[in-house]
Amino acid sequence: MPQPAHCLNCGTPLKGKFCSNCGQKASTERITAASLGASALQSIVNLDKGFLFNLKQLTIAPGVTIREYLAGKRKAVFKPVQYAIIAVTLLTLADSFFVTTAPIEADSVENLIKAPIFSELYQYGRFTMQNLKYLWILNVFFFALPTYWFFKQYNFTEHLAINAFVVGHAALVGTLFLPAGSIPALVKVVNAAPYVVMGLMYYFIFRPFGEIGEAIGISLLSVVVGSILSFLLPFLVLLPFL
Amino acid sequence: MNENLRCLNCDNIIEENFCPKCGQKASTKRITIQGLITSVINSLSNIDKGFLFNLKHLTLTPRKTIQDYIDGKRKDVFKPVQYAIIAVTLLTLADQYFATSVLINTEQRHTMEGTLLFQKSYNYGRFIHENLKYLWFLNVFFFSIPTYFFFKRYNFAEHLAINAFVIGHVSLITALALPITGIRIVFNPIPFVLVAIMYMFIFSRKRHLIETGVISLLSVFVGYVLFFLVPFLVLFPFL
Repeated sequence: MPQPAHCLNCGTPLKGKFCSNCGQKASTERITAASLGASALQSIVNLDKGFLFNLKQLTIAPGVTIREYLAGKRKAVFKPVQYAIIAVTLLTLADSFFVTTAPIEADSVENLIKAPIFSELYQYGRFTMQNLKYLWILNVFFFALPTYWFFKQYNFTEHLAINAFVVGHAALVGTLFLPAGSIPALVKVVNAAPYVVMGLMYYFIFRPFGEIGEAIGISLLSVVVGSILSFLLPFLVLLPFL
Repeated sequence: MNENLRCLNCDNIIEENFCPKCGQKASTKRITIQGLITSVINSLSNIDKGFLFNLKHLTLTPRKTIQDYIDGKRKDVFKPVQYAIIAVTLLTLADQYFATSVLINTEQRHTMEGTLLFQKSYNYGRFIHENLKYLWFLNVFFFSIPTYFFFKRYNFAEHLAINAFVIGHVSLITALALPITGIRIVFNPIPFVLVAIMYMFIFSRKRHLIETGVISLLSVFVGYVLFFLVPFLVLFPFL
């Protein structure tokens, strides 16, 4: 590859693939139709950088990838919050296409309607449906609370980053599972998929910091506590308005 | 500055601000609340990098900024296509909130109503209104055609980059002016006047000012005609 001797951005002599002063790529070239096409194609198919890097690495090596990200190996990684936002957007889009409504038994509805807070719960259910996208993103926060309580190795901001990776990845896996929800027998599997993914990822991330039994127990507990918080906290906050 | 001696990403030796092997910042640190807040504030207020860099430099020195970008000075610049996408989004949002409807001359309308062309044009107008965001963005392509023919210094891909900067920048300024002007985009002359002015700055040569001026106006005119005509002709059978 023909490479200029000085950075085209700041004029510093080049010693490697990147300018050591301003960080611009040494291989910066003239803009041509071919270079435009190549860079667009690369950013879509490149498995070693960006969105697909996360999809691949968080599937085959979630623990290593996230621990190294926190330790400072961040260049090739797609930023956690952006990853979660895109993944949750895909999940809510897929959710609106593949309806996976579980059949409700008439008897249980009869009994429920008489329950004191039925109308509030019903309103909350509607609200959840309509704002699913934003509520799902909040999961990053709700699940960071238990993992922060149980795993003290990282500070709370680092737990937010961890859970952005985990919630984002669980949402993506959930998206891939959604079409199977059209088969009634599989609805429960589909609904459980994101939470199973989260539990597994927690186990792999926090496994090196304690005993196996401890890691399994605390991973499960984090998923349970996080799920309860993510349902309960918005409900309690919104209760006066429902 | 407490910088690392070795890159935390690839372990290469670092002597300056960036790793020469993988390009990661030498100042990569542990993630903390403070670090998060600082980086958010930095990215929102830093006028020498990113979106605000473009807003400032394309206003003050459009020619130099774009020429430098094409020559390879690209690190601090917000990429042209992304700049155009964000600016056009802001413009269509501002158009929804601040623009007032244009009154139609009813007499003129009566004489035209019923003809085939009227019906087609009316449907096209609706279509433009509903898809303004995407159509307005296509201006980057339609305006690149005349500038490519008139200004041969750059290849077509470079003209696309130039026009992404130009369309993005005039959309942004038009959006900022919309609360005062209140003119609907399609009837709004401001962006097109601004495009012509920016072309004059970007493409002018010494002792050829009048020539550049005429060609700039002509480019805007041809681009404007293409913008309305090409989608209309493509969509004509479906309207």
